[in-house]
Amino acid sequence: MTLDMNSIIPQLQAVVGAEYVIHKPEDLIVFEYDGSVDRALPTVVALPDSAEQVSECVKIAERSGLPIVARGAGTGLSGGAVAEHGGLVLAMTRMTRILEVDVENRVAIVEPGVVNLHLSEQVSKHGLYFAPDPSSQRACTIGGNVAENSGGPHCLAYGVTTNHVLGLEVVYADGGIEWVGGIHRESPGFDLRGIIIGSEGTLAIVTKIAVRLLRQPEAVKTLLAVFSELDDASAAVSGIIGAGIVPAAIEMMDELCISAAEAAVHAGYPEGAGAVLLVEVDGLAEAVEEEVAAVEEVCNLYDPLEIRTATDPVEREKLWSGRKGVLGALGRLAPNYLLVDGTVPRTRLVETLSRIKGISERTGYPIANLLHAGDGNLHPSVLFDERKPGDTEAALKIGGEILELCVEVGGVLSGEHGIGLEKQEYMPLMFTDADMDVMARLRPSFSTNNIFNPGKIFPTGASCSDIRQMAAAIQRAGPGAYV
Amino acid sequence: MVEAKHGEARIAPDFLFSGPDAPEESDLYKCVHCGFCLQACPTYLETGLETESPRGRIALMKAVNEERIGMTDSVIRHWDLCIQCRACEVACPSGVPYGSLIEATMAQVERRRKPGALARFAENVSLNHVLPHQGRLKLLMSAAKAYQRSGAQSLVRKSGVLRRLAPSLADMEASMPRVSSTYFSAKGQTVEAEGEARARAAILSGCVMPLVNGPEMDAVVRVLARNGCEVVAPERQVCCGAIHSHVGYLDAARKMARRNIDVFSEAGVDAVVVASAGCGSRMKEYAHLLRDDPQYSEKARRFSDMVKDIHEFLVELPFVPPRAALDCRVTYQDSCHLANAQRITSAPRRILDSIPGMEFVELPNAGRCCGAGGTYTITEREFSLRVLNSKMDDFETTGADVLTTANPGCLMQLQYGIAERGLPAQVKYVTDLLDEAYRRERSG
Amino acid sequence: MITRHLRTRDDLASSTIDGVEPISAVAPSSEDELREVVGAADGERLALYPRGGGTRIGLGGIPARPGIVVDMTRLNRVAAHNAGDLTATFQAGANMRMVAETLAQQGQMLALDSPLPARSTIGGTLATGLSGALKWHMGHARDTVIGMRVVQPNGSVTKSGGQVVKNVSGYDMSRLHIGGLGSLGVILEASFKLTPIPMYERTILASFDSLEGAMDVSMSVFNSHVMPLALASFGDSTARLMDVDPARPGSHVAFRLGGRPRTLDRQVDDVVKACREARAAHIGESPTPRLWRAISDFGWDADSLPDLGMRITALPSQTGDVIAAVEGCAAPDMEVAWLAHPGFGTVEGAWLGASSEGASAEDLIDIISEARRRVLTLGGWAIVLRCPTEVKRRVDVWGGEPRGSSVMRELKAQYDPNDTMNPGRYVGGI
Repeated sequence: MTLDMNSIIPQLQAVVGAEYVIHKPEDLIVFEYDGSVDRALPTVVALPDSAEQVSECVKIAERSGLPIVARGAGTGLSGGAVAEHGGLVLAMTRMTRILEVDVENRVAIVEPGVVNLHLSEQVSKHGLYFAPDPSSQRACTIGGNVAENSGGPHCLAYGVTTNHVLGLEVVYADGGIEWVGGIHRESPGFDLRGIIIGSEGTLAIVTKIAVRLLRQPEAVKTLLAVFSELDDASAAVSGIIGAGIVPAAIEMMDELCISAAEAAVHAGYPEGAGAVLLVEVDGLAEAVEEEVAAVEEVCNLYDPLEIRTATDPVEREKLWSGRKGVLGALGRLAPNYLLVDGTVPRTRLVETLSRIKGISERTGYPIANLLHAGDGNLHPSVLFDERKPGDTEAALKIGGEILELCVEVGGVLSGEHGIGLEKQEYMPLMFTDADMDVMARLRPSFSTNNIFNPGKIFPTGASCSDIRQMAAAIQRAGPGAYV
Repeated sequence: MVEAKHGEARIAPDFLFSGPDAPEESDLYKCVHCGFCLQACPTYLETGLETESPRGRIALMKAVNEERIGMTDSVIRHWDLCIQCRACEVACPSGVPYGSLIEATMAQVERRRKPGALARFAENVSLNHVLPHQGRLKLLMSAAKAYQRSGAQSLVRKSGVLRRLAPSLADMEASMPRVSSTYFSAKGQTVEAEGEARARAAILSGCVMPLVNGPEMDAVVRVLARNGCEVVAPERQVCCGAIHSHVGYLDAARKMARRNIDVFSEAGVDAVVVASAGCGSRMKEYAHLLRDDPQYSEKARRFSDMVKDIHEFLVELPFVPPRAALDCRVTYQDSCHLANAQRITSAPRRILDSIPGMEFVELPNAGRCCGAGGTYTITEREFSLRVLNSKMDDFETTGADVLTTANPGCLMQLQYGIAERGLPAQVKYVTDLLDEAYRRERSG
Repeated sequence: MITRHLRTRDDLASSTIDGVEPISAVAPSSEDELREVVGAADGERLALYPRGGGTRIGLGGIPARPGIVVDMTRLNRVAAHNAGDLTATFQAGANMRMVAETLAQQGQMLALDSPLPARSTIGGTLATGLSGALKWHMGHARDTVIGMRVVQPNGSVTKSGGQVVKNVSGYDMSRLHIGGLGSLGVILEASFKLTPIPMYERTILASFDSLEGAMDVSMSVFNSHVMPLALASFGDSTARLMDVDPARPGSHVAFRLGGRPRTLDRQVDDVVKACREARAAHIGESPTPRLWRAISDFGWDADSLPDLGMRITALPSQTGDVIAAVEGCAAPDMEVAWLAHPGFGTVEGAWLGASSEGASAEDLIDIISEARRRVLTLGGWAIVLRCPTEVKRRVDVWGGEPRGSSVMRELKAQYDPNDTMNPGRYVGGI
């Protein structure tokens, strides 16, 4: 790349201010990563403060042929914010204003750098909240949520980001600023809003987001059911869904997770616990009581060791404590873990988990299973020790095998972390060349000139369909962190 | 893990980590850069810059460790800007011991940093030659007291002469502690328990606190005695060494730690009670500081287990709830070294809750640092005030007339903030209020 | 080659769209036949007009040129119903009533209520993207789709999404086809997340002397803890056209409530209380299936088929203003009826001429421009759902260029370079 950075840097500085252009080599190091294992150094980083500044930065980069990677808090788990081909990283962390809250219509307009949880905190005085609640919600930005179409434990009942975004103000590759969708619940024409959400920053840069807010539920009740067998717990999940109950969240942990959690936070699970289900129901007080009773009835069919319920916030927090502490606690079982993110049909949970167990037994690597079970989203964590020669490669291979299994039983490659760099080589497991070609043509449709986040989502290998290039592909996959 | 070295030339060895006090590699790589720490970090919140975040600072440590970059001035700048509030440790799901990483890093920086700058010299003198010695410190304080009492201080402030002549000196003057009329001094004295003795506790006198907050230290002793504690103040104790390790003088800190371990171990007490959060956290971590010292590592572990923060100690006793009422609206600012390093957040609140008549109101973002950070308030004046400013904005929303906290650095910083804004509020220790309520019992 | 797919009984006249008679009409019976038809038409530069049950075939502009109408109703399989997983996949030609009946056997439903379910299809409902009353609770049509297979204009079949409820693998291409009016390809198959049918349902119908009262109660329930399955408001003309008899004249609000017994009781109590507080003139109950069927069909079935139908969207709090605007746009000898979904901020207006030959084009054009003028001041937008071809020649049914229209045109150029799919009928002349 022949770039005249001596001219580009002052141009960017003139737009966003000298303090907010980062170009020293040692400073760029802190922008080479996100929450995934991938790393790549950007050429320069700018922190714009408005859509107009974003537009000017985009124009500068476009003129120079510099790739542009938008970045929120950098908490993503699939390498979406990693500047794979260098270029200009636009970090949106200065654009943190909540511009408007329309309480009556339950709409808010926010800047992309607003931290997910901050919005809910800000509108809680009106009894409202923003429903998508990724586990990184204390740190991740709503702009990042839009890019990755993030979910969270409670998306079972309330849906993912796209279901809560009404409109976006975006900057196109030519610097043009435009709203797609708006503050209304419908608008004419193609759903550009819907296509940009989840596009991992490859189509346009989002500069404002109109979101739908929900009313905080009147009551919340959490049920914790402990089973001695993982199969019983998975069957109970299918049983709950099959009985027509859609709780706000259904989370599940297996024996390994339980022992780690127990050691770390002393959650007080009974002796012999082989699986824990956490079910949360919210809504009208009466609905919560009736649904929890129904959930309890289903759980009782599967021979639980114990069932506990709580409505008081402090008591509920106790029930959640084991689940919330489990990932930090996995370090107690092994120095490293590889966290896989796939989704399978809920009716295939029992089978998938037992086959994962088979993989674990065959390879000798322990696999801890943590699941957003309600929507079939698995997070098997392969435990290994990178200091042992060959361990990392073996773990990565197992990760690939689990993803293949997910697709084989009718599932998908990623439930909530995105494809990014991490899983792009696996795309051919799910999609044909024709499927991917149709997807890829979105970029020219947005006239991106391929400057927005190039090298993401689609396989980079010469032959997309050569799934047997898995060995190379697996090298890309790696430990995610938090779910 | 190591990528191509940056630049053509190899990095000079003194720009790299070396020696026994280098950041622990296994701790560095516990960080999986998930970013959960970002919103806990006061400097990140002020700037929105990854370079001023815990994750960014660790990434720089890793990069130096991997010899991809050296400790250039700009890299050091990002570490210097860390207040070391350790709020990131609480937010971290992977258990990265950031406190010990930054401490070790600052020790590396100290080794490499060119001395000579006046400020560095002054810091060195005060930390290595004054703070450890109560006598010298007392002498300095007397001079300060004379300065404040004589009216010269208000003259100097009014004239603005200092600010024009030497802005950084003016900063130091502005945050100069309000020197109290009485000193607390550890002379080996024993204060009897009221009623039947329930415990025997040694009290850390500390360096700055006994001089700046003499009356407040007296209050701590009274509160302990009122709750059936026999209190001893061993004479040969020294400064805990927190500020030294904060800026990378680890050997000096170790020297003081060994001395304190010896002195307090001889006192025959159930607990070593510490009223300053910064000192408490330092002393609880003597075990880590002396982990490689064959003679002291075991002693240090035993000692660390005996150290109790005053609030923690009172709640565990448990303390006697006061019967007399106080009429005020109070809020509480978590001291970072209590909340983040010692993970104590409910004990001070339980004490405040126990005082009849007082209205407690939670301070928004109470867990966010006030910007004091030991010497940070002097070395990074501008940034410290930015952080303080956000804190004062939050405080004003509470409508409280008393702002409580648990550490002398925080107390002074908050007093400065309140004076700057001219707010009709007082800053006190939690134990001050408890003491006041106990004393009212007697008078009422 | 195309002719062998012709259905002999097909009457070309019935496939006429806005007076444009097709060159031929075909009804493929398999995926391969469909691919062949689409690919061949594209190759021969013939226009293609996909058609489901034909209930809303009038939506959109006048076809740019005669072409082939593709009747999808023979591709009507239930490809999968995974009841335990609350998901199902249907071919585009699947009939909405059949879909509902199939799912109901397992106590499940698809939260997509389209008019005239005996005729309308999955594909048509998605392509028009006009959600019915259930969107109040269940969201827009696009929120129920989890995966889709589409025949591209070149005849290839591509998929996006999957059959699981949580998925971020690749671009979500289905977004372009829901509400895309078949202008980028033919929807072949769609996978949905399903909803359990509530254990019990009741519908409260309240009447208010003033529109204000009806809107107040709508907003107060919208912002309460009660989440009705559906909430709709309508006036007296609408009630008469729907053959619904509210006990009192005025403005009416219907609440569709569902759940387990105590939950349902509580919702009914809260809604009745809210109605009382808003000074309802009458609060009663209405048989659920019949009322909501009538609400869904309004403006589309033979009894209420208007000369002019418009759909207007603004903010929920502006619903009353929109209704007032609709009511204010009448011509002599015309009846105006409105049906509103206040929680969504949409109002459907229907204008019916009194005489048998209907209203004059001039009158209708005046109404459209006046309605748009009024709606524009509220910041909303208005599309024409139905009007005579004569009016379409002179008025853009989509209300002009929407935001993002240059990207939309690029999408069209990318995916349908030969302008094969439904030419001339979509926004901005796409």
